[in-house]
Amino acid sequence: MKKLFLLYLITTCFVAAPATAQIRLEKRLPMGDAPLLEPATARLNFPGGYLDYLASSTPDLPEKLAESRFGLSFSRPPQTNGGWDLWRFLRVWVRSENGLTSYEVIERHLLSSVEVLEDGTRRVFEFVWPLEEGRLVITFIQSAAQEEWLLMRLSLEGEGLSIQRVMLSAFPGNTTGPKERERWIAVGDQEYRLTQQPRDLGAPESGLVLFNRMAQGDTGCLLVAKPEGISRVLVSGSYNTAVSYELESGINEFQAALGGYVERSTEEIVRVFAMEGARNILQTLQSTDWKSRPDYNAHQRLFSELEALLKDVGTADEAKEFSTLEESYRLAKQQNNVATVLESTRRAKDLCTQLVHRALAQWK
Amino acid sequence: MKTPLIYSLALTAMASSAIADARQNQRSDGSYLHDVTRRFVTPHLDWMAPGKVDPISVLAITPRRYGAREVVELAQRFPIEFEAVVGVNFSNLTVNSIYENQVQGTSAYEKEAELMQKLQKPYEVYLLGNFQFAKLPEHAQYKILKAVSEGAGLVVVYPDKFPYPKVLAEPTEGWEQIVGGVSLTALPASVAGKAPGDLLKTYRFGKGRVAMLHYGSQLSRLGLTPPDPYTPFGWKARYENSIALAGRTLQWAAGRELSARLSNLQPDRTLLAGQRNALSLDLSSPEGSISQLRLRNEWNEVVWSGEKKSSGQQELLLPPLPAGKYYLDVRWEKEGKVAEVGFLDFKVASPVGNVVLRSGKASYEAGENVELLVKLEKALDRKAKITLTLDDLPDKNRWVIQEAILPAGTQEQAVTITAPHVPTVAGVLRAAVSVEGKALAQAHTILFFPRREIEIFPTILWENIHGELAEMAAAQIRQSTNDAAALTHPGPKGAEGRLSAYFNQRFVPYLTRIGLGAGENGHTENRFWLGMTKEEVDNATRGDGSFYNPAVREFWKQTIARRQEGLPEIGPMIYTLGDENHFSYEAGYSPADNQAFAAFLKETYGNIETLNAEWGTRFSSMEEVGHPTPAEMRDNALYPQWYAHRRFMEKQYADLHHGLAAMIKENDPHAIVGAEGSVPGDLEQTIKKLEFWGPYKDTVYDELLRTIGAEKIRAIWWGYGGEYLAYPLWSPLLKGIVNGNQWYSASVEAVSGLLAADFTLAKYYEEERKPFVDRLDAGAAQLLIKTPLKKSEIAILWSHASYSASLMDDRFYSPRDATVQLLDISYEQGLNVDLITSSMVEQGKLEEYRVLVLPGASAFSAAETTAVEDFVRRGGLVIADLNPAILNDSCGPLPASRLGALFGVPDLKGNAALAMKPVSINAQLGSQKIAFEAAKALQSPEAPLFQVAKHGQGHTVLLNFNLSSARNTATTPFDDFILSLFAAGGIRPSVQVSGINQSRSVLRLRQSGDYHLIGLLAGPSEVGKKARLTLPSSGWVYEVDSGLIGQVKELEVDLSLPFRLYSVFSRRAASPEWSLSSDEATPGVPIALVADALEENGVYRLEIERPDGELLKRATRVFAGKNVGQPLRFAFSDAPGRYQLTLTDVRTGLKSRAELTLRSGIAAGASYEQ
Repeated sequence: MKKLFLLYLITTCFVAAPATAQIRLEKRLPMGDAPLLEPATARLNFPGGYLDYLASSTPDLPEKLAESRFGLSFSRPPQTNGGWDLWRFLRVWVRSENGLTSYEVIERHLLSSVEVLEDGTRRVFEFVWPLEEGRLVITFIQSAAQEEWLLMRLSLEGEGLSIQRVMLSAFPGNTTGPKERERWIAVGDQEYRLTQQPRDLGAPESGLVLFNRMAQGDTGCLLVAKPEGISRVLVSGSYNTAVSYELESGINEFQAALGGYVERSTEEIVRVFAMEGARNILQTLQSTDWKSRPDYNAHQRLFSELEALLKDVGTADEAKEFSTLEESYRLAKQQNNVATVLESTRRAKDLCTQLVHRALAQWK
Repeated sequence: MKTPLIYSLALTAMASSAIADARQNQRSDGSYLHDVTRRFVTPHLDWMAPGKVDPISVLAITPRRYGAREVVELAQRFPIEFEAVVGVNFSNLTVNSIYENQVQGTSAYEKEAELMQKLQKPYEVYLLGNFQFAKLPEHAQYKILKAVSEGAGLVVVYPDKFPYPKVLAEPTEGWEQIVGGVSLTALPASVAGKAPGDLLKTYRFGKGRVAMLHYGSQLSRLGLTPPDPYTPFGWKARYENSIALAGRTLQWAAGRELSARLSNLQPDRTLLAGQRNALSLDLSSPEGSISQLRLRNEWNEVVWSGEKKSSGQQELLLPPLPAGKYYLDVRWEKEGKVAEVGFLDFKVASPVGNVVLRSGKASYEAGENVELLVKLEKALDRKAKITLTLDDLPDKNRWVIQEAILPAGTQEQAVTITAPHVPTVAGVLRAAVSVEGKALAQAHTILFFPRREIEIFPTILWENIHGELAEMAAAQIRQSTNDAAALTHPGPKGAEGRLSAYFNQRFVPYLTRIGLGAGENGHTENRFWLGMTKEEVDNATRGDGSFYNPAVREFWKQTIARRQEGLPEIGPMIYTLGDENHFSYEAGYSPADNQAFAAFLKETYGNIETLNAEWGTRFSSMEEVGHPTPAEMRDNALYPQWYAHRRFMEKQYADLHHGLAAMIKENDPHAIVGAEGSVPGDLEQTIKKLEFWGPYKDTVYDELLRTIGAEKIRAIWWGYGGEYLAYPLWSPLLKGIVNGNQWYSASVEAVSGLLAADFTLAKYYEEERKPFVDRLDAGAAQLLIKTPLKKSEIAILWSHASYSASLMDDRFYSPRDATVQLLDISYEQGLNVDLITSSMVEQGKLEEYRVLVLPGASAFSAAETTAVEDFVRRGGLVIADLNPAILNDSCGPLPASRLGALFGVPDLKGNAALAMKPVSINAQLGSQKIAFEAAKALQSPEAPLFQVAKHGQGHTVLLNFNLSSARNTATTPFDDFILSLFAAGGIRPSVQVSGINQSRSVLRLRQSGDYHLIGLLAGPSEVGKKARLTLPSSGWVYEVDSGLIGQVKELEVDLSLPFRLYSVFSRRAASPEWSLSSDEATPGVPIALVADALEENGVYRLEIERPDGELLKRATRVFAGKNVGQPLRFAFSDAPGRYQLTLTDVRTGLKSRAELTLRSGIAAGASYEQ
């Protein structure tokens, strides 16, 4: 495994945000060759919570991650550690085509980048984990109209790779609690008490309510997964509640919506969720456009900035690179090829950073 | 407000409950940390009145505290149109912290987005007000420098090492133009001595101009002006000069030509007081302009104004002036617009030399005479008049005007001001010496008049008014809070306290902090020695930091003395010994501790026989007992030893608090001392000799404090973000836990600052906190505090020994478990209960109650046993839960429970482990049916689940299960079960609430004579709903401070405001009857409020309206019964005319009015000159 390191690189070429506070490319965590001497951390805040990443290695074994956490603070009752798991809310097992090798991505691999792709009416965050044979991209979307839900898509890229299992972990109410507290899960109108022994729910199309009885009964977490490709769901846990989605062979995408409630009647929640709540959020999930919606105005400003910078300090090669980028961007935009649009703007930003550095250097 | 999808689909009725959650979960509006507006206008001089002159467009980048406000101060005086980007401090636009993260706009990417968006626009000047250029995003740096190279201006105040030397490669003489119109000696001392070319450097960069104002260290925390420690005298005048220089620099950078010159051509010429003098000036004006002149003294009072049409060197004939320093402002006006401004300073000397005004002491208590000596350096050959005036601070209301004669040929005169009344902490005494009406000399001194009266409901803010922009911040804080005191560190020689005093802000010095930890081998060490160096600490403690070490006690004394210096004279409201004080039970093993521990055992038990009997041990002597380590006690289950060590450390913790309080009182006999937000230890013991205690938010200890600390000042901090409306204050106030309001904080900060960056009020505070706090301040809080809770007939024992035991073994079940459940029910059902301690039981307190609950009372003394047995025999009902009285009060073993027989379980030993089992009760208690079912709860196999026994006139009930599990797993209503038990003791709720979910609600009944006060606080989920209150019988009901509802038995409660207070009388209430001792007033002469007819249980608010219709805010008071407080007094500076006085009975909202006429103070034979 390559020695990797993470660092915060606050983008030096920042596209000015319009009044709706579009924000792009908050930070990039590039792969490198140095050991992870300092823990790598990243936190993305959003209304109602944050996503938190931490990874570290030790001087003895710098090529391995000694610690890796991917936490989610969401649906968290005040003054508690409850709600979604603050340390390991998500684990993803990937298997190779021949099924011989399988591993959990987040604890084994170092996150390579975090990007805020949109921050207007939608917040779109993209986390990328590079694998030996490909990469895992986890996209989160929170829309301003439904801030109480966090939509998540796992997309695995790589020849012969598929997602084997996705495990989500939560502490409905709180981590700690009295002895009599019982962890429960509701699937439609069925409710099950959880133990350490996994319970097989089959492949339910309903959403799940993760809740408690006997204590902390008025807070819980909500989970809805797109059912396609799910072979079965295992639930367990008397401390944390773990929901494990086993996927059919060859599946490389998984989608889910994560939510929760605080100080409400669980009975009401379960009833309404079973009737229509889960179905509606599933519809939202299914109709979600996971492609980032490029902010063409911001891109226009970026290219204008670049043009001005090129005039000031650009070289002929850079001017040529710019023309190529602009053309590729124009074509991609015309063809509604969002991936290339974003890639072009990323490269444009890199060029912008390079030019700004040079421009400033002239005054040093 | 959005509602979650599942509710918006189906449950509209639940929508309101989403409000609370959404607010708790979402990042709060951050406008108060980012926006810089002109909404809050502070007093200022007109330099270049904005609006009359073409404005300069400016992008200001500056720290939010205090640079942002300085941008507004500049914009108040100069015509600028600005955008501002504020950073967290001088070197960071943002910081990643858990507090900042809770507020919108505080992340790096949000702040960058804001900056880059604002940089889309061109500006004439880019202003870095104490913000490091290198810390801006590089693209922002580039855009700014490019704009400057193309002709914009760049002003950097407090420049750090500028990262682009080529920008500064071409120095210019522009600085000469800027300083040509000003006199640097008029600036604060920190820069007044600097050479102009060092202070201000200018450059040409491309087509643009760059100016750098070198004011010194960036740590000054200011944005546009140089450091200048605050004093009421001189600071504001110098600040005007500093801001004028900033404005002039900005004009130059914007490309405005500065051609005016202003200087004193003969600075050494002596100008004499009391006569007209000519000032020789170079007054070179821009062509065609007129020089508008303005003369200010050091109080920043404009004493003369005029104009000069001619330009160049000339003489300016000044009016006769008293001696002192003056500032001459010039505004060069052309065609109605001010083109440039400038200023210079000069001095006027007195023919009598210096005048010294000496007070016998710095501080005077109410009623004390002020003894003064006025001393001239040179005697006069004529008789002189000394006019003494005494003004309060900061408003400068004049309370004393007194004259004295200084005979010819004499140099000094003693004067006594008899018992002056000054209503503020500080006042300024001025002495003016005049001859034949001409003022020759003047002197002043600041005196302190400690305010000893603490109001019924005091407010304390975390952090005082800081020295930077003190007058501006004070203006907002004083108008927005109710005479709030400030708690912070005292600073060197009490400097912060003095600063607070200048603004009549009473001070609560954070004098020290207690944190007893365990060092090596368990040696006690204090972790916080404020103001002492490590070397000093090491020398003094030498590894033994026990308070029982004489050297340490002496060292504490030195610490206290050092931290208290300068404070007694201002009369702190309270001294706090710290917040989050704490101690470790692992400590207590240093040599001094071991000696003290042996003495503690000797004092507690007297002899070894008694100790052995209590502990169940067989030591042959006290020496043999030793002092086992925590590990030894843990491993060998040495419960009595373990508890003895705990008590020893709790005693040390309490002794330390008390010892420090005594040291403080030695230096200040008026001192009120306590601590806040601290670990309680044995609360009863800890607070015994303290007058103030701020608890942590803890259900049990808060209630305990209410019972045992009723006479103390009690308050809990709130304002930490994530809070909803005023719940953190409403709830403890209604419960009777607090009698004060502590708000965190008075500063500009995430997540809970009171002030916004521009010194407006933070929006969330202004809209969602202040309106509620104002209502409480206006009398509701005082009414709650002064009306006692309706006498409880239910006592819950808080056994400190049992609680300690519960930490040792699961069989000794925690008293907290049941206590919390019972308190919850008592709040929801409106049943008042009292927590009482073991010592109160032993002292006969049980006589006051009908029901006694013994939660987790595993450790019980013989005296408690006797008292409880007696209580039952006399007819009381005693309810206990798991394993009562299986230990003695030393936590020593007993052969069987001391209360076993009383509860009908004589063999109860408490040896068996507790286990979870179902609960099913269906029994009869007297005539009361008792039924309850729960899925599971912890139970002891040694006793039946539910056991009733009768003794004498009373009963006992043993609930052999833990109440929290039973409540959590209840399948029948738990509240009904508890209420049925109380009903068996003859106690039922008298007021019923219906229509709402009572979970998390608080219903409290208060009573004073035949007056009843009902308070309801509905839970956050019930906001906006309607509740119904049913009273035991029909009564005259008034909404507090509002008005009559009617003679009713039931009333509907609108919970759009979830906190409601109602007064209930048996007859219709009347307006308050009162009068004044006179309907005519003279300044300085007291007028009594005749309150004989006011009711003892009333709380009243007096408000006075001035002749101009405005409220005389300083006169508003809230008082209880006939305790009207100080007589009314008017100042010489108050406007003569008719004053309207309104007295409101807060209980009913009924008012009655009176009028008085204030005669002019001048008619009293003295002149009033502000």
